[in-house]
Parts: sequence; C-alpha cells; structure tokens
Amino acid sequence: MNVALPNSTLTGRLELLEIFEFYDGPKLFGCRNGVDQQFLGYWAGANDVGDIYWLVPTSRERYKMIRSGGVDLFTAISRPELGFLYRCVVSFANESTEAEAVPANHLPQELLPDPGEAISLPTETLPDRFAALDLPRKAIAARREIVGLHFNFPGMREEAPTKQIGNLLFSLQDMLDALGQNRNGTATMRGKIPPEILTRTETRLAYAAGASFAVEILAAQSVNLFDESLITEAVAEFVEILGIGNDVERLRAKLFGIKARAVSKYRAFLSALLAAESPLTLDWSSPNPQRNKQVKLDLAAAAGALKTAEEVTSELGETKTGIGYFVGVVLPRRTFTAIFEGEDDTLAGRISDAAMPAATHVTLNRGYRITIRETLETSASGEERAKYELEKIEEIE
Amino acid sequence: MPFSSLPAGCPPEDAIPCVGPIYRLVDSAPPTEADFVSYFDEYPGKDWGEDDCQARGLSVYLTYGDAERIRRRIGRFRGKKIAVATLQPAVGLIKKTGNDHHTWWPEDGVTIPPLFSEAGTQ
Repeated sequence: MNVALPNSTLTGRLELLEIFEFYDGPKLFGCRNGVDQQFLGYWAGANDVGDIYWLVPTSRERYKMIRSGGVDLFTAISRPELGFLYRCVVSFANESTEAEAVPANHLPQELLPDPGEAISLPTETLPDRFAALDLPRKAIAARREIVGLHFNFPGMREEAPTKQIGNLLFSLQDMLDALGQNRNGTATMRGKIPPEILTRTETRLAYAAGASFAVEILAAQSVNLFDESLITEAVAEFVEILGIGNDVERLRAKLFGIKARAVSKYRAFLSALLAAESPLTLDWSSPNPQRNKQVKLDLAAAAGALKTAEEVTSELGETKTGIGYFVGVVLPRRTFTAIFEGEDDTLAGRISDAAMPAATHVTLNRGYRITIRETLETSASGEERAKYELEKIEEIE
Repeated sequence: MPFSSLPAGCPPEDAIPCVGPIYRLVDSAPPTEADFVSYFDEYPGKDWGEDDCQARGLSVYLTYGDAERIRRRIGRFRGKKIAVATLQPAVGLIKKTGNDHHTWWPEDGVTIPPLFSEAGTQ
C-alpha cells in the first residue's frame, strides 16, 4: 500500500516491507532503508503537525523473531538492540519528516503495546531453502543415497524441538539398520546388529534448511558400480512402507515381511512423529535417479499406521520352549518370573489364561517344560522393551 | 449516485454491500464525525496512486476480538472505545483488505456517527 513513510535524514529513504496492522493508515509495519537496515515501524499517535512513528532499528535476526512471535512487541520496542529508536513526525501537509533519536528508557510507557502481545506469522528463519540444495544432483555427484525429511513442527519459526528431532532421527537410523539386517538375511528380534551391517546402513545428518524444517540425511557409504548398496535397499523399503500410509491390508502384509525388530523400529518412528505433531514428507534422491521418489505421511495416516503396527507386533512375537525354572509366581497378579536352563537372564511377565490352571500348582526352583512368548513393546517416547507371556507349563516326565 | 464523491472505479468491483455488525475504534461514545476521518483526509496533499480508493475508505473489523487486538497492540489505541454498527439494510460497500482488516466505503450523504454505538465486552 502507498503509505506516508517516515523518511528522514537520520534513517534514509524507506521501503515498506510489510504492514502488520493497518487502521486508517499503517500502525505497525516493517521497512528498510537503502543500506538494508531494517526497522519496525510503530504508530505512537498524532499531533497537529502529523503522524508520530517510532522506528526501531532491528537486526535481521531480531526482525524475524518479532515477526514470528519469538519477541513480543512490548520488548521489541522498549528493549531495542541499539538501546534507542527514532521518533519521527510525518507532516500531514507534505509528508516531510522530523526525526530524532530517543533512548528507549525515555519512552512513555503508556504508549507501548500490552506486554505479551505478539505478531505470529510463519517466518523463514533458516538461511537456505531446501529446494536450493538440489539433492538429486548431489546424490549423483556424491554417489550416495540422500533422504530429505521435511517436517512441519508447530510454531511460526523454522526450528525443530531438539528432543523430538532427536527421537525421529534416532528411530530412523534404527529402522534402516533393522531393514538392512533383514535384507541381509540375518534378521534377529533382539540383541546387537553386527557392526558389518551397521557400517553399511549408517547415515549422517548433513544439513538443515527451511521447508518448513527439513534435514538432509546422507548415506555414510557410497553405492557400488551398479548404483546399489545395503542402505539403498533399506531406504527403498522404508520409502515403500511410508508410501503405504495406513492402507491396512498392504501395511500388514509389508510389516509381516520385515520382521519384528523393524516393525518395532517403525513403531518408534511413528510414535516420535506423532509426539512431534508433525506431518512428514520424504524426498529420496539416489545415485540412480530412477529411484528418486517423494512420499508423504500426514498425522492421521501415521496414527493409523501405528495402530496397525501395534497389532502386527502382538502377532509377530517369538515363542521359545525349553526347560525352565520358576523364580516367582504371583497368582493374584497373574505374573511370573522364570529362567531357562543354561541362560543367565530371568524373564518376567504375565501368565496367559491357558497357563493359569497349571501355574496354580508350580513349585519354585523345580524344572518344567515351559513356553514363553516374547514381543517387543515400544513406548510413546520410542523406548523399546521386551514383553513376555507364559503360554504353557508342562511337567517333565 | 451513491458514491459520486469517489473517483471512478471506487469502491472496487469486488466490494460487497456492507451489512453489520462492523466494529470501529472511537474516542467518544456516542461517536462524533472526528471518529470517522479517513487516511485520505488526513493527508490531503498526498499522491495516493493506485491506493487512492482504499485510502478514502474507513478501517473496520468484523469482530469485536479483532478490534480488541489492535487496541492491545497499539498503545495509543488503549484508551479508545469499540463501537459497533449493525447495518440492516446495507450501508455502503465493504472489502477485505488485510488478514482481519476491512475497508468500508459509506454511501454519499450518510450520517455515520448515529449508526454506531459502544459495543459491550464480548
């Protein structure tokens, strides 16, 4: 809008950036001068001569903080970075402006905005745009798989909550490790994944850019002559799973194929995404551009997929039968603690309906043939723990 | 002609008939003519260019909350009252000219202050 700006010899000629509040004229706005000095403009009333504006010199970072609500208007005006602002009177008659520098501690308090009152506009706060990184070209140049993860965290600034982004990246790496182990043909439910697999599925966080918040995840190792690697296969599988969304039948079939550990890691990833309240867009850029793909997962689909994954987990458990000894049985609570012969770790959990009759007669520290089912449980925070259920107790003949 | 005092093409074609309620900040209750001075009238010598039409309208809000927000944001408005006009039938034309900001062009000859009364807290 064509407005009467407080151009003066102190500030230089001003260019309007944006108007935050207009009411019979601009009342709160952003502007800059010829040397790119930015100002927050604030209407402080009018006198017989003209409109009175306060121009607060702001750094780019402060301007973004004000615009996104990180610094409220009261603070922006009463605590300027330079300790002063310009008081300008724009003549009604000819728009000529008289300006003077005023120390912030001399401002009439009654003219300041209410404390806490803030502008709240989505604001680009990261220095680079994600699209400018040109990951498809970079993947070919670096001969590595690259995954771009775009999040949309609550808030107006391009910032990620440290804990949430940490959980997301941690569970993503875990998922790729589990999928890699699976593709390697050596899937296990628990225990350490061999280092020779982890080395091949390792990824690195390479960059963060605005979109609204995006990270570039780069495979640690390059692909082979055929543009393939274990991480290629793991990423392909992860992209496929995300792309299924919550198509329940397809997702169930896929999850049964990737085995319990990977399902558990996918649950952790989905839990982290839901905790972060962020939808996800994944851009896969590969040294083989034919693989490049984008998949999206909104929060509703993530919640549905998590439910499906939880159901699959309960069906995917491993059952072990062997000679075992009961260390404790608490019938009213239907819990047990037992140890398999030759093993060091005790297992504790719930007694199933089928095993309850026999459990009422067990003798501690005596051997039985017992069957225990193990499933992996993932908490909302992504923490994983084994869950055991006693399915069968038989006397040893 | 209801807008003969305005230049050709003003109000704009996409402005619609203004039926209330509309809210405006005023100094006194009941409001006076001084509460309805446009940006255009404040700067009589200014070349408004393509914004000439909007400058001739009056700023209004469609909700009490929006009027209250600018009162919190601009210290000089803190002492102002929020007045409401419940226009039925329509008086003039209105257009959305910002996130919550609307510009109202009353018809020629309308006496504006009696249309408004102080709004209660909502």
